[in-house]
Amino acid sequence: MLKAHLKIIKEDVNHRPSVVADQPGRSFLIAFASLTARQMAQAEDGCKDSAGQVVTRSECDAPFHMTSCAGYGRGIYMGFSVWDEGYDADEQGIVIGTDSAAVQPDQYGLISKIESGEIAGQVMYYGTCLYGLTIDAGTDTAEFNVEALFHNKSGGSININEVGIYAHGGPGSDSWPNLQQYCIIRDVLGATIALGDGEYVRVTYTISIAT
Amino acid sequence: MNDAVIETNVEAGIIQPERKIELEGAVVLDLVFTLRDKNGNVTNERFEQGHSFLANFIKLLYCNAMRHHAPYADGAALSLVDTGGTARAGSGAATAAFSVGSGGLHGCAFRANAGTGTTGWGILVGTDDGTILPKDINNYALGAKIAHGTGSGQLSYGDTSIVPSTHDGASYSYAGITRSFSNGSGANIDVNEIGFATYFYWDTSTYRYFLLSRDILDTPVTVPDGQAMTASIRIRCYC
Repeated sequence: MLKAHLKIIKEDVNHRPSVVADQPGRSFLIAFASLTARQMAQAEDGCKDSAGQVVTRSECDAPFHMTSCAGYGRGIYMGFSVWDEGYDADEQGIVIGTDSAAVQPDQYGLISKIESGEIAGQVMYYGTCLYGLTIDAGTDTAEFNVEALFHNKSGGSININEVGIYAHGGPGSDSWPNLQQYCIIRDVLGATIALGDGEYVRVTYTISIAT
Repeated sequence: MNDAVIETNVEAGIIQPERKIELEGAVVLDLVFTLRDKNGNVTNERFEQGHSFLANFIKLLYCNAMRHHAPYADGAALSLVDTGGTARAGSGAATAAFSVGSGGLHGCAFRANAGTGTTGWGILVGTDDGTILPKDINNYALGAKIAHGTGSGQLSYGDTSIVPSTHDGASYSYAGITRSFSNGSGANIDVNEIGFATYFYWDTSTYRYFLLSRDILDTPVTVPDGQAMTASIRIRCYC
């Protein structure tokens, strides 16, 4: 069994952290099943990318690529430091949005994704990294973390209601920038996060298996 | 004397299995077995809920998510244990498993579309009920894999195809693969375990084989002599 757990920490302008979400991830979407099966079978399975376009490719390059940091997850920004390589990338990795509509299994993206930027309604994306793979043979469990940092520099408050992961999977015959993004997880938060101007949020998904 | 009146209320309906609460938000393995006689008629269908992604699976998911064989965050090249029990540290040879490469081996970290007669990878079945090899997250092989053939205790491994993605619009989606097997051994064969394995270059330019899931069935599936079985492993996502 594979599961996800979602934790969000907000840091105010004085860098005081507070946990604003700590909930089970509920929502692996159809793209996760489809991309896995497509890679298992090396066969077509029409799958919608995050723009809602059906992508019919027989093979898929790294269909769960999540790190927006030049392809490597080094986990170096623990504690809200910034890694420039992941800066301003809102098409891959953990993404945030404003809509609170319930999740359905065939959704292909966040309903209202917040774009990366510094103008009204935008939040700066500081990149997604992976770290902390552990295997515990004693409990027959294993996990790793997917984490991203966001900074509101828009001049106003922004409400966050949805969070997800866009995986960056390319077709076998194409290459950057012709790769597609697929939303493999979307979660609606239990409570709205009001992210004030100057504040940060760190979003962490813990992906785990239990045998 | 009054006539006795007996009233009965009959309610008919299809009993649906109650969804377990712990499945919400989970990705599980559907294990579906269909048996057919020599005329192609379905003689039995079985479903079991599989749970058992192995350590190799999450390691490969981790590498897939990074598009790299060596997760620098953890300070060392990541090792997978092949189906022979040897730990193999990833190297640049694994590039083709995670990125566009030549030779058609694109993104094949979970590749399991084994063809007829192949038993080194793909969907694999065995007879062990956990007595030989108890289930463990670090399992790297089936406990007693059934060999390919028509001899005693053997099954003929067939081809593999995709189970297209589908969803119910409300609570789940799934997709997966299916593989056919036939029993020409002359006797019934009990299948007690199922898993799937992949193969690709990992540590060197020599193919390695890695088991990614293994489930021991609650009840064995008996494949009668002369019958065929299709075994499907579906990735089911609950939300």
